[in-house]
Amino acid sequence: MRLPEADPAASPALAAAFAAFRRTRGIVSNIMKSFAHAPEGLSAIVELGRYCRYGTDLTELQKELVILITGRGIDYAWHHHAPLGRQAGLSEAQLDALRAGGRPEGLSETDAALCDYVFAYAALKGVPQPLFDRIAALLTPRQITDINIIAGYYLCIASSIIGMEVQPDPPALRDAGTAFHSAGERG
Amino acid sequence: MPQLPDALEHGPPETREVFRKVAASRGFVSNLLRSLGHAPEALNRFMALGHYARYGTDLSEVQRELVVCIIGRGIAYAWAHHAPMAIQAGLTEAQMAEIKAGRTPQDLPAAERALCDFTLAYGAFQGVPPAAWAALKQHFTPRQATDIAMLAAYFLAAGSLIIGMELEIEPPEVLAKELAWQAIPRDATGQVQAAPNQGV
Repeated sequence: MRLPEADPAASPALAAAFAAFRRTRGIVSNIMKSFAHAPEGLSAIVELGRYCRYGTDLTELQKELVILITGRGIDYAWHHHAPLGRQAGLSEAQLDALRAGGRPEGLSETDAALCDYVFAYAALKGVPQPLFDRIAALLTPRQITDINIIAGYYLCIASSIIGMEVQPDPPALRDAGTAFHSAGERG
Repeated sequence: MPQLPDALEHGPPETREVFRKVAASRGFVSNLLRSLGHAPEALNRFMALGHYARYGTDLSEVQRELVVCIIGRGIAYAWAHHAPMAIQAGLTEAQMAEIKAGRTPQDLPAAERALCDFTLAYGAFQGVPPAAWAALKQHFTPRQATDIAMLAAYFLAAGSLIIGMELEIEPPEVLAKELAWQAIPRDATGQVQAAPNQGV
């Protein structure tokens, strides 16, 4: 991390933001620590992330497909979300395909369309009309909006991982985050 | 907005209330925020992050608009909204032309030059060179450096929505209203004390 670590004991606003993140994720990851010098902004990011994780109208698998596709080039994101993708039902072969930038075999028609849409969306070159028409025929406007907000949020996070040089979390911390997630959804 | 049906007409009832909150923060509901109208809670939270980015950071108006314009320089929608705000904040047409071309205007003060160098690297997703980080830290506090990164990150997310949803630029009179709104004095939380009537 390029900035010195902020001390939550010295800032009630930061302590509250970390507590809110810990309540819904079980841990405080390095990516959230990277925003710690601006606790009010961090709180807003935590709340948006909470929606992406627990508030959307997507299945667990669909959420992880969006995140894995958006974050596939970033080790930090991959190490956090590949276990969650596995937990949601993805096989090793499907994860390998996603990491290589391809749509995995064996997905439902809807989830395959979602993958194609997110690959285009996250490339920031526009979504071809046939891809949009296909996803619009399979998902509701709410679900498409949820896909967009998750992809947008993870682009935001990805830029910070790269720009702020966020260091990997220790494996034990990552595992604790995965276990927390699998214990049940939290709003 | 051709990609999704109008959220006020076809979305959930909560959308109208969130649009009212958006209008209280920004003076109107932009096509960017309107594009999230089918998921009102997502809009509510994205708008809150945007409110911080616009009114809550420890950056000057010029610094903020430099970050936004650098990140949004390749997106017509973002440029149409923020280039006028940057000029209103004090940047010149020549400086804006440099930013649009992806270069740091060399006639800016040293702090703003460091901010531009940092943001150009940050927005490229290839890492920020050590020299750019060192210059940033020389001129800005950790809070301000974090605000710069967060602002850039927020506008990258906004850019993805603009591109992915093919958002149309609002008419000139709406952009003019936004520009006037941005110049209104606010309290420490970014709220306008006596807001004019806002429609959704």
